[in-house]
This record gives sequence, structure tokens and C-alpha cells, in this order.
Amino acid sequence: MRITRKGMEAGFLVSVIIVLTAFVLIAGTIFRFMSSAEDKQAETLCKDSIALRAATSLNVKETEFRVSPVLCKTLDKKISGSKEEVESQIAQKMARCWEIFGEGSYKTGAFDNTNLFAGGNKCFMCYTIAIDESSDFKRDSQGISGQEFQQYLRETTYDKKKQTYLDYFQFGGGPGYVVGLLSEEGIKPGRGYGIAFKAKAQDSEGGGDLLLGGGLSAGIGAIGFYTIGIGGSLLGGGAALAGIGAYSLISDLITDTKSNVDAIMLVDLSNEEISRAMNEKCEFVSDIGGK
Amino acid sequence: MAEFSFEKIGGIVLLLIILALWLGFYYNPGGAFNKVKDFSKSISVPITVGSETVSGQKPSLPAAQSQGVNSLKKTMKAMMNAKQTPCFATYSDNIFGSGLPDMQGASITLATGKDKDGVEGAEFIVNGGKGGFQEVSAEFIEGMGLCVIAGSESYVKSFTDIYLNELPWNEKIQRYQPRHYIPVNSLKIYYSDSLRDIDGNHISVPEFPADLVNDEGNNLFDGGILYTPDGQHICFFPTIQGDNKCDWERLSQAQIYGEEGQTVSERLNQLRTEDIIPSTLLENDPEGLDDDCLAGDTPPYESVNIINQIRLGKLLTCEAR
Repeated sequence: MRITRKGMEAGFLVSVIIVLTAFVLIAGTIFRFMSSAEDKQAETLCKDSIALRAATSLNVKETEFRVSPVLCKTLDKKISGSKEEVESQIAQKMARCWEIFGEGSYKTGAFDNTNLFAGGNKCFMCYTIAIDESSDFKRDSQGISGQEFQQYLRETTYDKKKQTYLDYFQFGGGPGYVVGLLSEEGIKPGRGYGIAFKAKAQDSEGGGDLLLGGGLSAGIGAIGFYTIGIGGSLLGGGAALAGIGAYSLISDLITDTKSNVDAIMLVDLSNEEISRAMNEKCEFVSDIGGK
Repeated sequence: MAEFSFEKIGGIVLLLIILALWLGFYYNPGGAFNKVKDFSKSISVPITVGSETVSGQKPSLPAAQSQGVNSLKKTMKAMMNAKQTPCFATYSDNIFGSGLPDMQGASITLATGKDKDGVEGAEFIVNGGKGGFQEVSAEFIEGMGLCVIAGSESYVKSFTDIYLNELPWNEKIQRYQPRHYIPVNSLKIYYSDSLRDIDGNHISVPEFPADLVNDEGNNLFDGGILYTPDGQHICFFPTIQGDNKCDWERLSQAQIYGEEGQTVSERLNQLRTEDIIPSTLLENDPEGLDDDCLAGDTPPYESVNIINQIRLGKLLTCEAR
């Protein structure tokens, strides 16, 4: 066989193209893997730091002291898919956040260094989630309402724990509850959401009654998902209090000093009232990612 | 050769003597050392390592609350299958106060909406458990709507015109007018001890302003009564505190002596103008009905009290198809 110079050049070019294409594909895969690995690493670090804090706490008589730091960072996630897939991804992230911070099983709030001065409204934003458009779920589609998502949590089994998401949050580890603060648009592409862990304000033995003081706060223990209407007003469908703005309700929810139970929250960060109330009323524990 | 002075030697000997005495004092069997040792043994400071944990339990309600809530839900569902409407039903044997037991640590949220198949109805959500924050149960009831006999003076007046009188049922129905109940999207029932310093079960309506129904304490003094105008909407009765007498009792007296063809309102106005009855009598309150017109107090009951009228057969009770 006779090999011409032109043939050799063409062959070389094809080889280069194949090698470059392979490199791009492999690099992309590795990069995605590393990003995912970084997130998993951050989650593991956070979970381990919380567990270590609890494991190394000193209890003198009835006073607890913790010295080990919280090493957690907020992770930014992008998700997409059909409505059911988006629901599933959000629910899984909520469950992961709950698991990381101890599933509500610590008697003293996860962020308190001592139970002598326990209290306050300490929160940590586990994830901020942006939902991308997909062929099955577009920006102008009807969003997933609070009621729908609440029903999803009630009915869907969290495979890892072999119980529904709602049961897992409420009694899978320690006691807990779920709160959703969504706008009228619900959960849909083009909006940003936050999944936050709100630590208990007191230890679990400190009473179990609804906060009853003050007309505004009475009955605040309405659990589930609140829909915030235009202008910050509350709409029905699970909402509980009348004639008050979203800001007031969220403030009361967060600052309720009898909330001696940990909570997992899903909030619509694209809604100004919700975002403002969360930022002003939650004492966000510092994120090591910001350091 | 080092020089030794007697002073130095004397000083060293003195120190040795003091040391010997101190050692003897401290370490002899009955000495201070053993006493310190015994004392320190008696001080016991428990120190443990590791956070205490708590375990969760499936949230539930105390038996009395659970029974009350279940009875309410069952009655609401049964009313939707009523053979004939409008009609009344009782969900509780407690006709002397709130139909529900004290709901401390628990709440009921009712909210209209659609299920995942797009069917309209209402959710019946019960909360309780730890802090009252946990969901105990949730059920979607297809086809159900919600309403209240409150929220507007004219609507409350219409209701009282139709039903709070001594007429038999077939004559009451002739007075029927559609605008005597207000459909609502959601309701909430919980216990409050802070609204106007009155303890008791409270019903709130999120769509209403904060000062309409929602700031009335103990305003579910309903005698366990529900009403349906159409077999779909189930109406609750927010109440106002009465003076142990259903004012409509006096209305019925006024009716008897009214002129022929004169409406109840006309007769009332006439009596007010003539100062026969106080001007404030029988004013319809948008906050709801006088609780004496609902819950039975002690016998003998007000003649137009709803519980009493049900007993006398002057109000139709819901019967299943």
C-alpha cells in the first residue's frame, strides 16, 4: 500500500480532532464530578462538625457547653426537570439539610454554645436553589402550589428512611416541623428558593403549647405552607391569620420564643417580603464559605 | 572552707522543725490531709460528655380533642349528603358552650382548594404534637365549601330574619334569601387566652380584617351547631358574648304585637322610635350571632335559641340521603 503525504496529513488532523473531543468530554465529566464531590464534601464536613459539637459537649450538672465550631456553608444549586422531578429534588434537599443538622434530635439547639443562654432565632441556609426551565416545566407554566408540595411531602416516601418526608421531618429523628413560605406563583422556574434549618429556641422539655400571647401571634402554630399574596397579604389555603402582612407573620414564625422544636423551612427568596423578613429576623449562623 | 554562722544553722534548723511540725499536722492519721481528702470525696460534680438527645413521636392529640375533632369532621361530611337543605346539624353533645373541647396545643385549619386531579373541595388539617406545630392529620374533602354566619351586618340580619323566630319550618323557608351566609376560603380554630382577655376556643377567618371576627375571644361558643344552605357549603357560627338572653326572644314578642303586614324590621324600628325597646336591641353584629341564640345556657331555653328550636323541630336537621 502506498501512503501519500496528503493521506498522512488528513489522518493526523482526524486524530487531533478525536483527541481534542475526547479531552473536552472527559474534562467536563471530571469537572462535574469534582463540583458534585465538592458539594458532598461540604455537606459531610457540615454534618460531621455538628455531630462533633454534640459528641464533645461537656455537661456539668444541667449546663451544657460546646466548643467545637460549626463548619457549614450554603450551597447553591440549580435544578430542572418536570414538576414531579423538581418536587423530588427539593424534598431531597430538605431531607438532607434536616439530616445534616441532627434531625431535630439534639435537646439544645444545634447552634447554641451553651444552654444557659439558649434561645434566639438561629437559622442556617443549607441551600439556595434556582430552578431552570425545561421542556416539561416552563417559566410560564403554573407553579407548584404550597398545598401541592405539602401533599407531596405527606404522600411521598423518602427512600433513605423508609417513611414519608413529612413523617421524617416530624418524628424521624427528634421532633420537628415543616414550614413553607411561598408566593402566589408557587414553585416554578425562574425563581429562587432557600432551604433553611431553624433551630429550636429552647430545649425540648420547655413546654409544648402554642404561643398564645398577642392577637397577632395567636395560633401561629399553623403549620404547613403559607402563600403570600400580592402586597404581602396572606392568602387562604393553609394560611392562618387575617389582616396581617407577610412580614409580620414570618417575623412571628421565626421569633416565636416557644418554638422549642427544630424546623425545616422552604422559602421563596424571590419574594421581597419573605426575603426581607428572613434576613432581618433570622439570626443566620455564619457560613464558612464567606470566610 | 565555707564559713557557717550560728544564725544560718539556726535558721535552717528552725525551718526543718516547722516543716516537721507541718508534715506531722497535715499527714498524721487524724490530720488535715485526711480531712481535706474526706471533704473532697463528698463533693460530687457530675460531668458527662455528649449532648442529650430526644426522640420524636408520631404527633397526636389528647383523647378528648381527638374525639371532638373527629366528630366535627364526620358531621361536616354527613351534611354534604343531606337529603334536604338548608338544614342544621350538631357535632357535639356540648350544647352549653363551644362544641369542641378546649383546643390548647392544637388547631384546625380548613382551606378550600383543589386536589392533584383538579377536583375542588376543602382540606381539613389538624395540628398538634410538639409545640402545636406538627401536622397530626390532613384530609381533602371533595366538594366541600366553607362559610360563616358573620362578616356583614346585612348577612347576619338575613340569617336571623329567616331562622331566629318562633315560626314553623315551612314558614321560615318562605323568608329564605340567598345572602344570609358568607362563603370563605379558609378558617382556623384554636384556643386563645389573649384575645380581649377572654379564654376559649377561637375561630378566625383569614380573609376578614383583623378587627372583624378575628379579634373576638372565645368566639366559638356555638353549642356545636353547623349549618348548610346547600349541602356544599358548611357554615360555622362565630359568636359574640351575650347577656344570657337571646335578644331575638324579645323580637318574637314584638312580632306578636306588630301590625298586620308589618315586617319585622319595620316593627323593630317602630318600637325603637317609641322607646319601647332600646335602640341597640337586635342590632345585627357583623362579628356573629349572640352566643345565647346558639348555645343552650340552662333550661328553660330561649324560645328562639337554635338548640331549642332543633329540639322542638322548628329547624330542619340534616338527614342523610
